[in-house]
Amino acid sequence: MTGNSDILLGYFDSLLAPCPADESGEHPLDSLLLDATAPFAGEADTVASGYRLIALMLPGTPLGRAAALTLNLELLCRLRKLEPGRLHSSMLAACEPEHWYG
Amino acid sequence: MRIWSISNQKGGVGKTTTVVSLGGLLADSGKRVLLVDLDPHGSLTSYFGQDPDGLDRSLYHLFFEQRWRDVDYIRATLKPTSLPNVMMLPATTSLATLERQVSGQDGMGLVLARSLAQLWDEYDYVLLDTPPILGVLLVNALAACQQLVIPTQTEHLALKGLERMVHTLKMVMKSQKRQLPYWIVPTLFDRRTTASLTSLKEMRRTYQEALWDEAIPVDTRLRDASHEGVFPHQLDPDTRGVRAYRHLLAMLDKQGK
Repeated sequence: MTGNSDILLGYFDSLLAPCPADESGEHPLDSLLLDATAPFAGEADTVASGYRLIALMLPGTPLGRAAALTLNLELLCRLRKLEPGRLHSSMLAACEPEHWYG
Repeated sequence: MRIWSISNQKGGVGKTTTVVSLGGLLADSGKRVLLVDLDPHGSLTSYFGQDPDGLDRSLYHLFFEQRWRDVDYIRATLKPTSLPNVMMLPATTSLATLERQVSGQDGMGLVLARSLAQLWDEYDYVLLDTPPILGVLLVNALAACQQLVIPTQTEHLALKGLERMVHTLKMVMKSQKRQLPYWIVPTLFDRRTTASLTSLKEMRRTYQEALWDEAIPVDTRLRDASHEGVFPHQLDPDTRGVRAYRHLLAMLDKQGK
C-alpha cells in the first residue's frame, strides 16, 4: 500500500468509526452488540454498521435499557441456532442497537 | 428501503441527470422516492426550483447537534418535487464548509446512513446525488448506500475519474469491511464521435464485469426537462434518453434484488 493510500484509509476509518459523542455515553453497549452480531452480519444488508431502525416495542413505550439489552442477548442466543434465511435476517435486524434509544 | 448512490469523482458526467431520471421512473411505477442532494453546488436542489443559497434547512444541518436523531426535523427539511411521491433532501452551499466543520470528529461519515434509517419505512428508494470531490459527503453516501452507480462520460479524461472512483470505493469497502456492488454507466454517448467509441471500448476492456452493456445517449430533451424543472419522462416519456434510463433501471432493480 502506498503512503497516499495509508493516509486515505486513516481518513475513512476516522469518518466511519462509531462516534462516542453521538452515543451519549452508550457507546460500550453499541460495541458489545455490534461485536456480538458481527459473525452473523450479512454483507449485502447494510446501512452503515447496522443502524437500521427496527422497533421492537410500540411507539411511546420504550423499554428500559437493561430490558432491551436482555432481549437482544436472548435473540442473539436463539439466532445462533437458526439456519441462514429470512427469519434469521429479521431476527438479526431486530438485534440492531437503534431501538435501545427509545 | 433501497439506497443507491450515484457517484463519480469527476464533474459533468451526468450524475444529477441520472438521479432525476431514475427517480422519476421509479415514481412513475408507484414507488415512494427520496432524492438526496449531497453536492454543495446544489444542482439537484436547483433543478426543482429551490435556492441552495436561500434555504434555512438542508442536509448540512443534520450534521450538527445530533439532528439526524430527530425524524420530525428531517421530515421538515424535505422539499417537494414535480411528482407527489418524490421528495428531496436539499443541499445548501454551506455544505462546502462541512469538511472543515467536522474535521477531527469520528463517525461523521455515518450521519446520512443514520438519518435515512429514521425514514426507513417511509420510502421505497433513496437516490443520492454526490459531489465530485472525495470528502466527508462522498464517504457518507458510500457508507449509506447498498448499490453504487458510477455514471461515466464516454471520453478519455472521464476514464481517469472512473479509476479514482473505483479506487476510493475499494478503500471505503476495506474500511467498512463489506462489499458494495457497483455499476459503471456510460453516459453522454454519441456514436458519431471517435472519442465516445474509443472510450467505451476502453471501459469494456478494463471494467468488463461492472460495466452496463448499454449507454445513455446524448439527448437534449434531458436538458430541456431540467429547464422545466420536471422529470424527463414527464416531458417526453419516449425520448431516447428516457428509454435508455428505463433499461438501466430494469437492470439495477434486477441486480439489487
